[in-house]
Amino acid sequence: MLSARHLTVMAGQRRLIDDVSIDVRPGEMLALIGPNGAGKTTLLRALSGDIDAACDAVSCNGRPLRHIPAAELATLRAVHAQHQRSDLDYTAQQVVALGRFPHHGGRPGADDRAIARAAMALTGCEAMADRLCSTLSGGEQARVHLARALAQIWRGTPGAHFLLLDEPVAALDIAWQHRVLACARDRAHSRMTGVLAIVHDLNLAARYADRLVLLADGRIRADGAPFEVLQSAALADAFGLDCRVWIDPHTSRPLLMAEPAA
Amino acid sequence: MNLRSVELPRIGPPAGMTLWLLAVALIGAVVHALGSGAVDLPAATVVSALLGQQVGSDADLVIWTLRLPRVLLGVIAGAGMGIAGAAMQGLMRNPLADPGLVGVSSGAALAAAAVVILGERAMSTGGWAASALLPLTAFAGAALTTALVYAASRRNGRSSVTLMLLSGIAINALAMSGIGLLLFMGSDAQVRQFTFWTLGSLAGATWPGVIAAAVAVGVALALLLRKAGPLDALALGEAQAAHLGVAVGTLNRACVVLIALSVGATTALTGTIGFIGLIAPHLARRLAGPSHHMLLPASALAGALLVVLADSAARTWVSPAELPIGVLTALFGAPFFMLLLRRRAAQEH
Repeated sequence: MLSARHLTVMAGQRRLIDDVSIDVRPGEMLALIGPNGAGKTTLLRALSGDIDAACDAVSCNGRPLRHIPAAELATLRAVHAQHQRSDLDYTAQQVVALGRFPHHGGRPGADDRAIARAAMALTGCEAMADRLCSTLSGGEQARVHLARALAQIWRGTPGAHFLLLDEPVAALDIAWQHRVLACARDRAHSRMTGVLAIVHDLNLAARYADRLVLLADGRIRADGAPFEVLQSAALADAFGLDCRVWIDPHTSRPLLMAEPAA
Repeated sequence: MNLRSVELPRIGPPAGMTLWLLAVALIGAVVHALGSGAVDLPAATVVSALLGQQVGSDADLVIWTLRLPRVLLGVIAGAGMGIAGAAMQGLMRNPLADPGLVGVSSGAALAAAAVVILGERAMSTGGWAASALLPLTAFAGAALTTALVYAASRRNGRSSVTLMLLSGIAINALAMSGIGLLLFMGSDAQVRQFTFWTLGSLAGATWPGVIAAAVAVGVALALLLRKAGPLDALALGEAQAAHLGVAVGTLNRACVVLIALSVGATTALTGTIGFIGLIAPHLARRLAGPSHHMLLPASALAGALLVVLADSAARTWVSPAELPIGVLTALFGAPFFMLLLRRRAAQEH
């Protein structure tokens, strides 16, 4: 389990994250939702171990991040950041193979290359394998970096492992938005990976996540099954929306229609 | 399809083969360089002299005492500047980084010139301590300027091209004014050495110098090769590299020290030969691809090849006089740099 307990992150006098406790559970897909500036990316970075001051309040499989060496942590959790360098002169395949770096520490072996290819198949980038990343579109690059994150935690190391995705579908077309979130959910269910994904489209989040966590002003305002969270007053309040929720008879998932509150 | 950049795929044979081809080209250039000069020697004579089959002959004397130290110094200096450039480009995630352009070579030259002019008495006592003083000070000067440029070009945990080049201009100007001040205090003979520090020369090659530089560059190359994987990961960005388990702070510091070692050792013996650290890694990247496992050795070979060719040309074009080698490398290097700038500008807009 990847957990934060009473996590507070300050920037000067401002509380970006204010006394947040959250668990990312193996085998569960969690979508983190919330308005712009709510602190979603900050929370994800704290859970990733990026924020030094937060490394005592965050623990992975029971050990505070402070006590897990970076090289070991890299075999336990992979991170997909929202912004990636767009001028890389490495080929897509080389970039995905870099996801295996924590496992080989130097040069990728045959095994690592096989995993890289399999990860690329999952995000549909096999055809771009030999193209330079700098020549790919934004959405294609996002899929390459997703494949890199998948390759990083491809095989369950002993103990649970985690996938942290910051807006993984922001640059993708609608078909790939569905495919990528379905893929993340399947990794969670079939490989006992704990997935946390920041998703702006609430219907997409509700369609694929097992649990929604609503963050606003650095605090958790709602945490529960998609249907409950979409219906909550907290959601309408956080976004300033008038919401109507019903169930899609086809998927049995909640659907939200919303407009700005009068 | 995005139109921001033109696809520039790797050219030529597989990366491993490229290293062998570069090595063969380098050997050819070395044999050619050993054969050319005031007395032209045919390649067969050069090779047999190298194999020790001409002991006692004039050719043997010319090659072993006059030309070989100089050519080997060129090989080592070129290799050192090549790997320093490749490592600096990797460290700054920026293909325009070059130890010469950003002032690292000037920093090393300033420190070395300070020792030569201010420490003349210490140097004249002779011995190993005195001969080690020059490279060590040059190394310290290089380390200081590398760290300075690295710190000055960072903003919010990222390295900025503009800041790097501008701080490089400032550091270069500072180092040059420092060298100028030292010359003002120096003797006429020392003033004549000015061109050595600013335009470089391989003419002062001695066997002890060659061996010292070989050790320094060899150590830098061996240790940088162990950082090849982390440098590849660093290309993704510092946060991304940290997510992959790279100890980014340690890697950055190690690179700064190893770049300084390589640049310091070569600058102490050859002065500043510009642009090799810029051109060699670009050539290597086109031939061997961006992965540092291949890029570092390929940059070493390409740098060595460029310096040996440039020195041959410098020695023979206006024979019996000699062009400063830095004039030649700048003649080709500066337009090349302009070309890179234009291409980068085209990518950004």
